[in-house]
Amino acid sequence: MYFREINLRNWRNISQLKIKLEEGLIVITGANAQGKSNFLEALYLLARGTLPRPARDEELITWGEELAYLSCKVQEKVGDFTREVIIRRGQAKEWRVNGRLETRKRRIWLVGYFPQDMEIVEGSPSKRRDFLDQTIDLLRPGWGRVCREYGEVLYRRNTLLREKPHSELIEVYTEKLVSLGTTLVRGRIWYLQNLTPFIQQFYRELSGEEEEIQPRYQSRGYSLQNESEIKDGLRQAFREAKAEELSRGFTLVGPHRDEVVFQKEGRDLRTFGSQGEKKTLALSLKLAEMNVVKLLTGEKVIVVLDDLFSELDEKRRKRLWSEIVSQNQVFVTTTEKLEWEEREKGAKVRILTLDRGKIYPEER
Amino acid sequence: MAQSYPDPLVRLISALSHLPGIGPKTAQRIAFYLVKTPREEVGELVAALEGIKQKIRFCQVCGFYSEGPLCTICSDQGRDRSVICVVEQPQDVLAVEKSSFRGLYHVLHGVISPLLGAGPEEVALDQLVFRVREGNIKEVILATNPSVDGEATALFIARKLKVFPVRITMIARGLPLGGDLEFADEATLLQAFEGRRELHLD
Repeated sequence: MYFREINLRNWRNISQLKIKLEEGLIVITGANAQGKSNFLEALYLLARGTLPRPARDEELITWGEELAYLSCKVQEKVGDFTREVIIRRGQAKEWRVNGRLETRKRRIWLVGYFPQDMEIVEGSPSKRRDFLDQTIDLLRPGWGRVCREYGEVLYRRNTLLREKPHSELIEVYTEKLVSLGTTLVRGRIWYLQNLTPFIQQFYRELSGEEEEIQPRYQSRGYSLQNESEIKDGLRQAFREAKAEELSRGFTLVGPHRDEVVFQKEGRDLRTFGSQGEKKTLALSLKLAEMNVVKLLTGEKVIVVLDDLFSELDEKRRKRLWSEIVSQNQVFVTTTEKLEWEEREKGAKVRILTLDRGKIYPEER
Repeated sequence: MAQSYPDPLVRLISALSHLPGIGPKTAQRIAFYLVKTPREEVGELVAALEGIKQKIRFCQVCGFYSEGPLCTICSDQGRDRSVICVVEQPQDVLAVEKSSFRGLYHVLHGVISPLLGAGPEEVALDQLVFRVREGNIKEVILATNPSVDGEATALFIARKLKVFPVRITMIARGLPLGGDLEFADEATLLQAFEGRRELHLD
């Protein structure tokens, strides 16, 4: 799977950009603030339906314009399709596939690394839950609905606890949270188990260290001893928390408060890791995601790496390159001129330049 | 001083804009139209409005629209009186009537919605419990909307009724007939699979 054509209009600082693409490595050069990251974020949005960092729709449309339009033509193993998204001020995004409104999302397998992905390691627990949930949503149809419904039920339960603690009615929402929550926790544990060997492998290789990273799903307020007992565990936790929930006025237990911990020799890297360790972990997480998607779907993925290569030393760059070169299509941005010795090794490399929101099909 | 419309016109516009789905602009348009409308036609509208206030009330048993103490459905002896279908609004009764269902109804006149501050006391639940306790009811079919609030209301009712010896069922959620599997959204498909049933070939 790869992008054959990209067409952007009024997307942030890019007023118009249209380009045909092939497989292989695509290097996007240019000085700072020329639109390199914006270009990659457009690819990410087109493929995954969300942005790598949350933004209001108004920020996505070029200042002074009415709407932004993004489209891509995607080559699949057999055949192709076109996806478009239209962003208007104050309205929901309009998604189309082959010109028709899209009701069931076609998957575009894309994994991205952006500088803000350090937040997955450093940020609040929600960043780590989102990291899991967003990719499970790609892999499992209906996951998004479960997450949304859980959120809606939770919101109502919290409103009740805060404003009208009707005990019997709260029970109804508790039961709903227990059943939806069990699905959530099971899915997250399943995905984290798939990720773990890859996270450990990449961390080891990128850091050159022997110590293993231990990812662990940490439940909040309920027992996870036995996976088959999640439902009973949640139910019991809700029973035990009831008095405190009533006095504090919100839901205290459940997967919306769970955490994923990454430990190295018993040390939690979020709190005690060095910048280098955190960065290596964040990159390992994304590479693991790429491999799990490939493993579970049998599809090669599109890889998008924003401003990464320039920060890595020679050894890590080589290791990273050997990992992504086998993928279909890889986009990287860089401000520096890099020596792409890989070009001589027969890999397809294309260099594009972005300058003040315009793309030029050569190095400048 | 800025000129405004004569008082009777202002009053009409204000009254109209209290109606659901009608904003100030639409209210003005209707009011201007009525000013130009012949007196007989307006008289007909006034009579119709008075008619619903004088003659229409809610059935004492099920809560559907009626002209007497009981609605036409509740007083129809030809219906299956052992089954009650629970719906959110009176208009849902007519929707269910399009099916082959020929039992009785119970209109909740709302839905439990914590976000709107509507608790169980806001829906006509006590009457339903009373009917199930008193009457010879064999089955209660919950036909609330497939929304988070609709589902929660159904679950709450089910809990309230579980002490009685009645069968409690919920209408199926899933694919529309005549629809195309290919174009169904994921959420609907998932529901349809969860609610799949055995095929009985005799």
